[in-house]
Amino acid sequence: MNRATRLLAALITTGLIAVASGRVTFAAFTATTASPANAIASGTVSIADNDAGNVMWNVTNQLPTSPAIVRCIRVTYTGTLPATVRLYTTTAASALDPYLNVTVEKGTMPAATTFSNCTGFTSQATIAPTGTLQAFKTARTGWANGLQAFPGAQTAWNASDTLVYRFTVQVQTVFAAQGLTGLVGFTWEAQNQ
Amino acid sequence: MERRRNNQRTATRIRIVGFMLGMAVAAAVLGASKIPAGAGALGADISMVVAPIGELAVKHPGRVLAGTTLTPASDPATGGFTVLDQTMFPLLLRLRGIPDTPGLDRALWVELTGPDGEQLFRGSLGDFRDWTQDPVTLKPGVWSTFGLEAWIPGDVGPGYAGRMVQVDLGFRVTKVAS
Repeated sequence: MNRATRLLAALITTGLIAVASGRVTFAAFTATTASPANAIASGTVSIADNDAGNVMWNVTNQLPTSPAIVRCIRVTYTGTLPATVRLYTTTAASALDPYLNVTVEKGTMPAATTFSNCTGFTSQATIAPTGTLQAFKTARTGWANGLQAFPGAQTAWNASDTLVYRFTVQVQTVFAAQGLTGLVGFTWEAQNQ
Repeated sequence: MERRRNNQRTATRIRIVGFMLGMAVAAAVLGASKIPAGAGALGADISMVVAPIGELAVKHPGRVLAGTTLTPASDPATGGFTVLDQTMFPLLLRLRGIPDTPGLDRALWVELTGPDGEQLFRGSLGDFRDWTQDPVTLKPGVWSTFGLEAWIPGDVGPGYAGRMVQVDLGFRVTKVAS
């Protein structure tokens, strides 16, 4: 390569470097967007279930030999902040409480299973081992001692999370249980973490 | 001496020609790679999100409609969602959409259709804040699909440009009177 050719090549290269710089410059002018409404909003904590105001069970003439009452309720977290949810009862004691065994499990269920059926329920854990309703009412009276559960292995409830609670209730084989009535309401409370 | 001068002249000419060639190549490449001019106006962006409530399950919670760079000339953004009555009763469902900013209340229009293709709402985003008048009846355990469209009508002025809005769809259910 003679001197003249080398010089020509060097000058052409200079021109090409200018092209590369020019492309970068053009690119810098293409990205435009707008952010007109910068807002800040507080989070929410709210929770709901699928009972539509109906009771989970209302049964009569139960015997110790009757099939256990098995009912499911789906709880949905409708807030936005990560939260803890606890289950408790504030219902006053009733005569049948010492003779009713209650078990509570958490799990999943097909969406198409409506309240208060448990078709397709898959248990994730037993969150309240079998004990009397009397014991439950004594132990779980509010947020401080409420029964805490999270969907699956999560450690917080997040927006749109759901969890199915399955209640199994059975009358004990105890003579004294005859002719008594038991009554209980359950409350789920959510608090942000 | 004369030969040296000739060589210098030749070298100078070569430099000039080389530089001009380089600039010509640069101009050609720049011309070829120039980014095309835009349409001249920014569009509007909209997203609609849906979340379950206690009585209703939602098949895919979250964003159910997304429209970007919407202009009066562009096609509508389309979307939809599917819900299920998970109570034990038939429910009457009314819907509405709450935008997180009023910036597109007049410019953006929305159409909501029910499971049978019936029109439940058609109007401005601002009017979509009110609950739909005619309820949809949902049967327990049955999925129902709703359709959504959002667009900017042709006669809207430039106020929409560059605006973004997120619309939270809301559900209100009541039991069917027995």
